[in-house]
Amino acid sequence: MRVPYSWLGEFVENLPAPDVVAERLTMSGLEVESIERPPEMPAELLVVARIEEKRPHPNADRLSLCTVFDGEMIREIVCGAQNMEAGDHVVLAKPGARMAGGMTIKKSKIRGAVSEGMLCSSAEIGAWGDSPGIIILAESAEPGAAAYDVLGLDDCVFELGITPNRGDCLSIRGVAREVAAVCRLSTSPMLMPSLGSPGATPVRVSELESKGDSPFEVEVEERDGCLAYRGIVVDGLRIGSSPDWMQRRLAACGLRPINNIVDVTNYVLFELGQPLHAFDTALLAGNRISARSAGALREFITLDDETRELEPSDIVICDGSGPVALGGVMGGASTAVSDSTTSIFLEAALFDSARIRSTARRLGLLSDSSYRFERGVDSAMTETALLRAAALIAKTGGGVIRGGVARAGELPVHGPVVRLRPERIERVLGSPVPTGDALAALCRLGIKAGETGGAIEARVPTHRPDIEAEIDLIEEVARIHGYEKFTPEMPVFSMHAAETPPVRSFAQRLRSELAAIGLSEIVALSFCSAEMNRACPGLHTAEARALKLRNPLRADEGEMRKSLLPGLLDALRTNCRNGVRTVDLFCSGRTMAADHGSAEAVEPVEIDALAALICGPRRGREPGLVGEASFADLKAVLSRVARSAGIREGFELVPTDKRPELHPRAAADIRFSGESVGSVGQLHPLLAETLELNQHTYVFEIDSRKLVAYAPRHPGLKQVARFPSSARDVSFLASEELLAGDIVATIDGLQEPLVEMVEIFDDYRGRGVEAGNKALGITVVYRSGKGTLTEEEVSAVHARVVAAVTRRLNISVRG
Amino acid sequence: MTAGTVTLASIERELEDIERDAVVRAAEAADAAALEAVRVGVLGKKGSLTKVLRGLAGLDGGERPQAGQVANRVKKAVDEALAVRREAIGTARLAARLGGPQVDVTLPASGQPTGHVHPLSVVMDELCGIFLSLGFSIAEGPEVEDDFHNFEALNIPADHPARDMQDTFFIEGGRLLRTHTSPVQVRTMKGTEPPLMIVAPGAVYRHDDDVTHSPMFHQIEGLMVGRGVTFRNLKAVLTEFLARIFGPDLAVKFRPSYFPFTEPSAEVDIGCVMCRGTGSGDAGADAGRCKVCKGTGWLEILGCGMVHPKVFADVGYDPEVYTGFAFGIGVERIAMLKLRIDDIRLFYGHDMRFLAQF
Ligand SMILES: [Zn+2]
Repeated sequence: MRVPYSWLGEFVENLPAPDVVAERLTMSGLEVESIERPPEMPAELLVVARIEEKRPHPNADRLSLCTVFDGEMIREIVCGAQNMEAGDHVVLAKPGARMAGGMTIKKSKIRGAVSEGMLCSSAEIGAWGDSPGIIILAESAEPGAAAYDVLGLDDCVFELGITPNRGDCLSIRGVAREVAAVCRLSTSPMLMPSLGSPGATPVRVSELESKGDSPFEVEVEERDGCLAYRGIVVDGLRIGSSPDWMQRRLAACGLRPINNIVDVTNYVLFELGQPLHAFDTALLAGNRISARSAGALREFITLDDETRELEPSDIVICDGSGPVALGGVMGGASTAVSDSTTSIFLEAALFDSARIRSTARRLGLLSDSSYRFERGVDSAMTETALLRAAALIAKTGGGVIRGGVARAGELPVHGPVVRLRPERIERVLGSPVPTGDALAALCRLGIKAGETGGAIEARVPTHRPDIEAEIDLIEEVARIHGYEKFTPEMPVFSMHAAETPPVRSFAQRLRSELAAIGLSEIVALSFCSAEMNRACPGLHTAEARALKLRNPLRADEGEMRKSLLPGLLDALRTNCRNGVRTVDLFCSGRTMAADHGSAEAVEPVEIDALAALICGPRRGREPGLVGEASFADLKAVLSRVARSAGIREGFELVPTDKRPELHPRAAADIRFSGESVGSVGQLHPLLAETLELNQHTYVFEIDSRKLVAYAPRHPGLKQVARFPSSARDVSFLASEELLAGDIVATIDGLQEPLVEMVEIFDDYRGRGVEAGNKALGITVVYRSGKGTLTEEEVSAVHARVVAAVTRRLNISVRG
Repeated sequence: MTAGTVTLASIERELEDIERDAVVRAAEAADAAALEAVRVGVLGKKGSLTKVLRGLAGLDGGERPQAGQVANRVKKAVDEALAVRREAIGTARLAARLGGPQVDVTLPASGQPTGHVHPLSVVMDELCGIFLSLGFSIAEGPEVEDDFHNFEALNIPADHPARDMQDTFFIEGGRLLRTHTSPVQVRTMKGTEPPLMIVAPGAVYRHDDDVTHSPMFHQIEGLMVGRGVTFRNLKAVLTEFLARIFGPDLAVKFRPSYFPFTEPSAEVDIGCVMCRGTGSGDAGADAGRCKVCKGTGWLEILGCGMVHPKVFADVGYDPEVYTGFAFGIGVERIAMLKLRIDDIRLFYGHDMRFLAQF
């Protein structure tokens, strides 16, 4: 909220300098986010001037020449605006003045005519108003006077960040109360500011009150939504602009002046925090106003001429014919004040926070009024504000208050009584606060508190609905006492082992391992397009549906990712566009989907996934990059991942053609102990083409949780061999469809005790091998634990092995 | 050879022949093997000199010492010739071995160059590591939450303006994306008896997207509950934590604020890490004010407070018995300050030119 420093000064005597006020407010919980200060410019460079004569520029149709008097001398000014006449009082920037846009005024010649300064528009000097013409001041502004004083731009404005619990600080008076409390100023009773310009003698509200019956009758039918309703009539009005001082205040608060009625309701809203609404009496049907639930009412046209659909629980204000306002949110078009209004019915009511909030949110109507009702309006101010606004309207519009205040519902006069135990203060804060200090702190905030039976009893005032319980009082005491008084003290606790979830420490270890072998980590947003979720179903089951966002920021981020691959592919594309040739990436994070249930009962499933991608030429033994990424390159990464998880023996890769994102002939299911933990393979050519990516892109995605859960214990020490081994090579001729792993598995399956290890050393296709076939070179290592094997022993077992393989797999030995 | 033919003179002559011949052959030996053959031919078991020495037995007793002297001199001369040649051959051999081409030590290393861990991971691990060392365990929770855990149980009822503090992404069907890591507090307390000390790191989501906000970012939530945990304890733990990240002489201040699930609540400011709390920046730019702290000398770094009794009541802890504190740290914010990163979107832009700097 914007708070002009000078306005605070009307409520707090001996207000300290702006910087001091800002510091104290910030350190007590009312954060001053910024201080807007008047421009730093000598006051004599921007002054009031009177136009003595205006005539056309001899050489330019759209320019005019003005002779002005600046209080000291006559100056000739060339001006582009046309909205001024001789006799007008205007704002003159003399040579040397720096304008809001940063331009410095110089004496110059414009199309042959000398100009000794500039006549200013609002924007040029950072004043309120959006008229493109120059500012025309009141005739009371003396030529030569400093324009900043006249325009009220010599003020500081605080921008306050008000937390949702402090609705009481959404008014100048509320902030002033807080300033008085935190600056240790004596809390003198606050007078109503005068009805005239600031500085005139203050008047007590009671002196304003008019007597007699109101011409209107009001009633509250829905007590849960509207606690109290007040109204008053002001007659004989003439709509016009509000006084300059009021316009300046509103402009400083960020409001655009409109007319004397709207401006007064806004002024009092900002001053006292009570929202007000003015109806044109002539447009109201009958003389009975009621506040009730919308019930069966279906729609309502608000004063911005929009038709709003109503819910039965919305609070509406009705006249004899139907709804005339959406209570606490916005008035209606049919009874709005216009230029021809001569009489108004002014409303000040107390609406329920939650009801107003729900209506305002649903309709997207966030007004200054609804904002304050949501955060709590002080019931002590309701009638005061009504009377003050009525009197100001009567004065500025030349009208009279007719009759007294129409009333329905009781305005609460105080909040609950809350007990505060001194020992509880110490318990929460860590050191005691003397009861006297605590009482003084509460007192400064306007909370009446006394000591009874060793505890403090506090009567909460109506302006602090946020204070409901003991802990709320402890906070008030702590912040007024000063947080800095509670010195740090390390907690004492019994020793215990701090734990990290296994998946987390695994991911942490893995990151450095993968970085060590050349992969870089990316962090991708968890949002995903529906298309990419369909293309990359990730680790979720085939039936799993994507979680859809009800309010996505962008259309292509409408769902939550089911896989980490879209993020990796996006990163690949970004870097390829930037000219990076080799892109090896990994990513860890959650993927989400709904595994069962209907749309009504979404049961989300989150998976801690890990994915990697490699693409582009590799670096070999010679300088430079060669070839393309291959399946084997990514398999090396996968082995590293398995080792990180403590898995020593090889995992199993089973070819699959079921993954929509992977090449059906270059993809595999990753299995540990038969359980599938993820998949690996070449990116599907169609997907690569759609995303304009290199065809040789290889990816895998695995479920970290399954991997970590699988990590086996150490199998125990194997005897270190004492006798030498003997190796034999053999080359098999097989169809291309045969997997090398099948030969290894077949030999393993023979359970020959002398076979120590089987290794694939060649996969050859081409000259000498028929098309559709391949030659697989295998080394078998033989060793005995009992002694050195003889040539004959090795040859015998090798022959058995080769024969078994050719027979079982129906392949032959290459001659 | 018979004893009669052995005379001192003949032996001396024979020895001189051996010497002359051996010296010449040693000098001509092409390599170590040839030189060894020369040595064996003269000094070996069946060598010519060895043979002569054996023949000395046939001499008179008076002549033997003189012949022995001559033989020793010859042996020495042969040894010396062999040694000289051995060294020459060794030097030549080494020179040949060292004479190959110069290795170009400036050529690139083979194999894949090293990759990079994401700066957010680096910072997240560092922050968690500090809390682990202080005795906090790490807890995790779902990112897709329900209204109860994200709001209700944290004293943020429906239709309460505190909900405006956190613009929420809603999932069709009623769930939402957690707006903070605080729901992990609730989930942990519901399943554990006090005392407990946890931090909950993870991704959170806000319906917000501009230069200073990302719709997804990361937080670390902290919670300590037990008997006698106080606001002063909170200040001590967080001051220690901040000193470990930003350095021991860091200025820290706690300023009253509002979070629905803590009371009293505080916003923690630290002395600006860029201008060292002076508020001044490069002369000329931004009117000489520090850009990072906007000239205030202070930076808002985290939010914290004492756990609200309503939150305890909701999870079944007796607020009269237990007290506790909670805090929430923005990981991006800390990473940006520590690593001097000025645009939050760089973290999620995947640009290797950025990532490779960490
Ligand atoms: Zn700074």
